[in-house]
Amino acid sequence: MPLIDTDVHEGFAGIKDLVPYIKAPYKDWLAQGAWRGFSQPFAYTSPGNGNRADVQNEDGSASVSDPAMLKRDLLDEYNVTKAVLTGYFYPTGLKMQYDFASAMASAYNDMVAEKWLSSDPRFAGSIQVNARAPEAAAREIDRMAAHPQMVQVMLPIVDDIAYGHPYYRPIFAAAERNDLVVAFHHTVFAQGPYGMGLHYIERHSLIPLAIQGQVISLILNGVFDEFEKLRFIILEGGFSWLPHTLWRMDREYRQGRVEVPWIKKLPSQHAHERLKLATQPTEDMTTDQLLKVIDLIGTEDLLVFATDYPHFDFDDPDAAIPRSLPDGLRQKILWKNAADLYGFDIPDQHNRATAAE
Amino acid sequence: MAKEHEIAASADIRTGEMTPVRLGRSTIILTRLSCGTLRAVSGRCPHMGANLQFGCITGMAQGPEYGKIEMTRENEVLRCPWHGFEFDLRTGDPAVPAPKGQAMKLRLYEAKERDGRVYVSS
Ligand code: FES
Repeated sequence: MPLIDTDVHEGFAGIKDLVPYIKAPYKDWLAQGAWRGFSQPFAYTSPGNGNRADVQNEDGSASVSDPAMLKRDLLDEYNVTKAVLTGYFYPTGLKMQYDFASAMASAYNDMVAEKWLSSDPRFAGSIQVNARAPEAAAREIDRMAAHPQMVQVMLPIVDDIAYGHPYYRPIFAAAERNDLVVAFHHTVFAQGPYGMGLHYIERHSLIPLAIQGQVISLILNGVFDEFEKLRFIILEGGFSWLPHTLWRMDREYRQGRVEVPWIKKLPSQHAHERLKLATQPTEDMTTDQLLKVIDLIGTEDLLVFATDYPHFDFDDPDAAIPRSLPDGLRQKILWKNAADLYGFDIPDQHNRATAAE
Repeated sequence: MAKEHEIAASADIRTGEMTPVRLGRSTIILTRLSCGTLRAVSGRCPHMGANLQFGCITGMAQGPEYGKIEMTRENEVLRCPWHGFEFDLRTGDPAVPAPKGQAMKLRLYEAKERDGRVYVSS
């Protein structure tokens, strides 16, 4: 069966890897060590310090910088048909020096194109931007969209102005005119409603809440209405919360639509039509429980598979998406829904084989 | 009838360390508890199948009160390299019970030592 992994974290061995790609004057800044890169405001508690303990990056960060290692551990090991690279270096995290952050996004994109995308046709890429400078981000999207393997724009979950705010509209406009998906991924700076808590376990449990806030912001601020062709994917935020969020927004819409009449559809309809959620990290549900959640979500077309390689909360495709699911549904989650989202042309081997019998 | 396999030298198996050995198509991890007792466990995590030899041997974290971590039973817990689940090396049980309807016990093998060699039954 084909397999599409929608969340694979490539990286660099250290921030200085961007020196060859970044424009002046920032080339000197990075070369001279003027900035050391992001650090997370907490300690990891997993045996591999954020990564799977059997995968270590050179600089100890939660990513992997060697394409050959990633191909061996993931693409070949699991027979992955397409792997969407999502990075974990998000310049939006810099809350000042916007031009520097935008330049780092461009440099990172060029590094990914040269080092990763060109190394294997199974890789698809995400365009990194500095979302705090939306016009510059839009120009970067226009520039990188020409690369045939770039399939989406990556927006990291921020802790201040949610993405439904009109401030970010140029980014969505650029994604739409370039026929790209918009992806969201949590960050080391994403916050729950009361911050990150006092423990890593709190911070990690709060991630879905940070993401729910973004879904609510996007739909109820009319992003789905203004950009009618745009499709969205949320990575690493879980999915079992979605029925609640959709029911709640639908109810609010029925009672309070008068305030936002430019929203033309029920929030659940927008989500069903153009939102995907990646399954990782699955929550140790039984097959019955998973089927119930999907039934409550209201469509089989919304979930897509992700491993989150090389992070510690990696989902193994066979263990995370039970073989006891109905075959058609399992195929949708493991590859068909993602193939539809990204327009990957993947022959339906399974059906072909059946037809030939 | 269980079959006995000679798989390692006793002297190579140390407390707090993991020694992976092949047994047919499986990997078995050998270690010793602090008291010296030999342990032989499956090399595959019962959760999602991670290769446990990349995990670590640790103790059981206890929290007698808020904000206080006490490590007890040193070298009696194996933590998985992926999601970090903890398995009790005395029983194979996960430190946190599995969700209802799911099996999550680490397989223990019967292991013996004779004349400086380690034997495992399968
Ligand atoms: S695979 Fe071992 S804890 Fe998940």
